[in-house]
Amino acid sequence: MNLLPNAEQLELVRSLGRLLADSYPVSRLGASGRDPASGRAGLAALRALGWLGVGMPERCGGVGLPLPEQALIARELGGHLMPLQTLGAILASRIAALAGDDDLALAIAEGDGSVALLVPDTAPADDLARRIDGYLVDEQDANLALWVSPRSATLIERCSSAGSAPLRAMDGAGGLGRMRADDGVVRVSIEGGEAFHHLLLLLAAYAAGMCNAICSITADFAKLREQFGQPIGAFQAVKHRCADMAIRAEVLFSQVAFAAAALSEGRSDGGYQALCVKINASNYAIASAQDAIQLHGAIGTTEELVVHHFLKRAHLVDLLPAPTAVLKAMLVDQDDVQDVAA
Amino acid sequence: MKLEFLPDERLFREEARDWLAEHAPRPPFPPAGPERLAFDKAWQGLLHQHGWAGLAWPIAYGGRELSFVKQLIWYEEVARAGAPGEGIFFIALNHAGPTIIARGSDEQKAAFLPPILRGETPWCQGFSEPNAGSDLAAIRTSGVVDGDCLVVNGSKIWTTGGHQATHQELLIRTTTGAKRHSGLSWVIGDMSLDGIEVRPIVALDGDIHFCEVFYNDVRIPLANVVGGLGDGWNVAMTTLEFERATASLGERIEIGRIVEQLIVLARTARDFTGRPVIQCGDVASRLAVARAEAAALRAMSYMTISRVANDEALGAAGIIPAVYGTEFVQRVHQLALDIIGVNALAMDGPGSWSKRYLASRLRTLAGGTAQIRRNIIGERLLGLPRGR
Repeated sequence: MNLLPNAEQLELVRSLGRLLADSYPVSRLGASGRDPASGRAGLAALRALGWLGVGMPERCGGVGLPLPEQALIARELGGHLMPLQTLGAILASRIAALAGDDDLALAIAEGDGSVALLVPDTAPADDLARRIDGYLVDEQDANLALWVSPRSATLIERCSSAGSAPLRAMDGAGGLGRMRADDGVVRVSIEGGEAFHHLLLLLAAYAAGMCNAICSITADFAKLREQFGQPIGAFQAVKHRCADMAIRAEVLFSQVAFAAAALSEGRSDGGYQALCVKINASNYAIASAQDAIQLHGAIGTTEELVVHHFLKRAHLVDLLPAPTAVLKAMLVDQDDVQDVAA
Repeated sequence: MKLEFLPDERLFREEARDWLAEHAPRPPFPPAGPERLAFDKAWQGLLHQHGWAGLAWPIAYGGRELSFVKQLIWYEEVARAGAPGEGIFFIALNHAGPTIIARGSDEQKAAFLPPILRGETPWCQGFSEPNAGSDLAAIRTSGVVDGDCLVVNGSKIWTTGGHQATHQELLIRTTTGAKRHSGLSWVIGDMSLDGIEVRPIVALDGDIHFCEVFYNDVRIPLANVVGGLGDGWNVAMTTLEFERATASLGERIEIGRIVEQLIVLARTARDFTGRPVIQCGDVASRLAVARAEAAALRAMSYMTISRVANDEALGAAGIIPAVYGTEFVQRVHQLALDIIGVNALAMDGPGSWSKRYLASRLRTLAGGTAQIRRNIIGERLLGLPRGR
């Protein structure tokens, strides 16, 4: 047992972190450096460098990285508020490969297949019906929709004719689409809950990265901004809320590692741990983003800084792959796992 | 990032599990008081007799010198078996003993360590004073050298188990006029010495958790100073470091089981309107979050163990599990009251939830307040400036 990332895992994260910090810092989303194309450019760059094929088995040309590595990658992506199409591609390329469609898997990881996550309006009673209306998050230009339920995962190709006017997203960074049952055709689907747990983990890691980043941004601000003759971070009312943000980030760092290892090692509590970490990650990402806005003061409520993106994105993550209230109901129905691996 | 245990560790788990199944006493354990003291002593004695005492202590001092991972496994198995925790021996095993091992003389080690492992000498911690709580360096209880003794005068408070302990780790000021952190000494005190008066304090749950201790010309041999006169702050910090890695593992693991007990209770107990409590959306939602946060706490315990096992300094991040864990324990006990409903009115009802809830309010104060800990996280981990 050793939950710490090993040297290779750390190097992997560092190389991705450097790439993102150099080319796609979160400041790109602020008013001063707003670059509407950066989401597309970032996706293209990550795809070209192979980062979107990390979930695809080596057999069909992917990198086939284990879940702990994928979680570390998702954490970096979240820390830089990269489009959720990144997670969509990592998961969908694997699903396509598992379903036996290697060409589709390769197209998603390296080619022109771009995947947006689909959130159904209501959970369909029967997955097989595949008739779902819902939202496509970070939808820009996506030609595939990925719907993951606790029982199955389905990749749907969007019909080009169905294009409706894009919606104005609460989190405007990546666009929002509307999808109806008739707007696409099923390309591949797989049964079982593996993809659901995989997605829970990736989203939790993404939110963990957000918690970490917003804590650093806010602490840096609290060291610089002065009122009453001292940096506001010297006031305990501010300091303690910064500490709360640090606590949430540290909690998620540990819990993502635990859940990733549990899933990766095929432990019977893997799905349970993934549910747990996703519930916490959603709650903590929202709480830390709210704290960040409060501690930045009035400027935190504006589009002049990037802080608001963390709050909006936290709520987006909160609704994936199903609202947290639904995940909580699932968790409370599970069996006790205290003795797993003990 | 691996969870799998080594074959050797799995064997150890089996060994611990088998032994606990055969020997561990079953609840209910005696309530606080003389009967509980005798129970804790007997349990520690039994552990010692069978080679399970001082798991973290070096073999040279009678311990098992177990790896951090095996200590984690032990605490998991204790929780699984529902076996008693360290109880009155918590300070002796986790603070006083390790401090003497790290900083004590050979004579001190020989005299004071073996009786701890045998379950004969419960220790208490004489650090806090009426005017030195969170601000520990403001200690005023004094020790003046007189021949081969220190003559101690002053008072200590919030001394956990002070009414039952035979010994005390005592932090006193031995150089007057010295700056706050210097001039302190860490001294081994015998609680039966002349001039020591112990006033038990009844806490909000009706139990005596801690005491006020008065010192009136108490003569403590200079030979009982650990680490040298004036070096007490450093010695005390050695002690406090121990708490961060493993000392609270037992409680952090046990709380996961308490959450599971509450889920079982909520599925069976009826609420005010006669339906199962778990059908109340608010209770179900909080139980789900409790499960998620218990899993988080477990992950943090594993991460802490991973760090110390790999010689990583815990630093200020080491107190994050303490803040998160103690506040979580309080949330869980408040949830318990909402599950038992009107039965919360009885202090000693089934499960003693009301009493345990009240006792949980101590958790964010003992060993450092949640506020001081947040200052430390803010200043030392995040680099925020100190304020006044």
